[in-house]
Amino acid sequence: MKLRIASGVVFNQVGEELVLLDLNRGVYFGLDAIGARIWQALAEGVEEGEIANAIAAEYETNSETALEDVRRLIAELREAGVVEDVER
Amino acid sequence: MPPAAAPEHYLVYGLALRSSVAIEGLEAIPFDTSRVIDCDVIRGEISSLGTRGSLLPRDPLDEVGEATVTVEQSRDERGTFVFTYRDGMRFRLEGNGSRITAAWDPPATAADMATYLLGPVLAFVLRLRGNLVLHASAVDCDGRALLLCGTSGAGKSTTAAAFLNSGANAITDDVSAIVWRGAVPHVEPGYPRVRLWSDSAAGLYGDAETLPRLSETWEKRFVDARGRFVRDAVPIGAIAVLAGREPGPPRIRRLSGHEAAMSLLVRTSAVHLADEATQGNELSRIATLAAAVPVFAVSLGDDLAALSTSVNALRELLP
Repeated sequence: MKLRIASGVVFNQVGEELVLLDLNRGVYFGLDAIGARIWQALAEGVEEGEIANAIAAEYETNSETALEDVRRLIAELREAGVVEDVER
Repeated sequence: MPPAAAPEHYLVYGLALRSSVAIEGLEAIPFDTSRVIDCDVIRGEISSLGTRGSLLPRDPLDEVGEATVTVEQSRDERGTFVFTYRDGMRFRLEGNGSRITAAWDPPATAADMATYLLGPVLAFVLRLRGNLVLHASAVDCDGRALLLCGTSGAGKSTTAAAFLNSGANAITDDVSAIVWRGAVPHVEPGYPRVRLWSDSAAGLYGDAETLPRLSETWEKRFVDARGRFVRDAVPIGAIAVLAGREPGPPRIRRLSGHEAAMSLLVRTSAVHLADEATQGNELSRIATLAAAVPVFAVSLGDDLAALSTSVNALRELLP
């Protein structure tokens, strides 16, 4: 499933971390360094499996754990309405 | 009709004001033909925009103490806003604040008007002009600014006054206008007063009566910081986000990048005012500020007498 950043969501890197603002609802979220990496990859349209592999390589963890983490964050972002599925 | 008095000129938050009303708390400066006037301030009649306006969402940063406010934005005159406070004080901003009309009736006074103008009204004007503004007081310690952020009652002004007692200079009270000189964020000077509620004044000075009242109608007092006031923007050394008082010694924790940005976002009105592009820019400036300057969450002790301990601890945060 491909995702995209929902409209009305702006974001900014703060050092290695990231802060995002949902202008439609006036709420904001913060992401730590790993969350920020995942977000940037999602913003570039990278698929979750590929993101997990990159995270696993960078943080020397196994791909399954990384994939779980990526999916958990995506679920949270989707729940918050800041990412949405791209219709095919 | 008596002849109109010559207007006074002032500098506050980096804005050049020309006012037909003396603005209490500001020091008039000589007229300088080379300086572009940013805001003309007059006293006049103001009526609600009614159906020609739409209400902006409520923003606590636009309020003063208990005086809640409604802010109307004109539908047909771009950059025109009307502020109506519950106590009857009114302001009309035109041209994004390049012309400000103030209206008040007794028992309100010009001193009351100045309190509103120098607080939320000019903060709003700065935001309209694209400045980043934080709800923060600031003090100068050896050429570095410490910003004291927090909600009303968090101890911003009390802590700022304690800093003044320990030899620091005043920069601004409650409204911090941020400007960048090169890559270095600076805070613009406000005016040479630190405003305190009577209990804080009594805690710091023994007796609240030692400090003059801000106006006849308010229980708030002020420390006169003339002579200990900076005249130019000061580079920001650190930002302390004050989060209430708890028993025991002050607790200080450095915030990570996203925590810092989020805690500063609360102190602005990023989501209140402007269009998406402007809000995006404000977020970008907050992120830049949070990356450039260390930001700390601070719980002050609950004992005013021990505030000097907090001052020493906070002073250590500056580079």
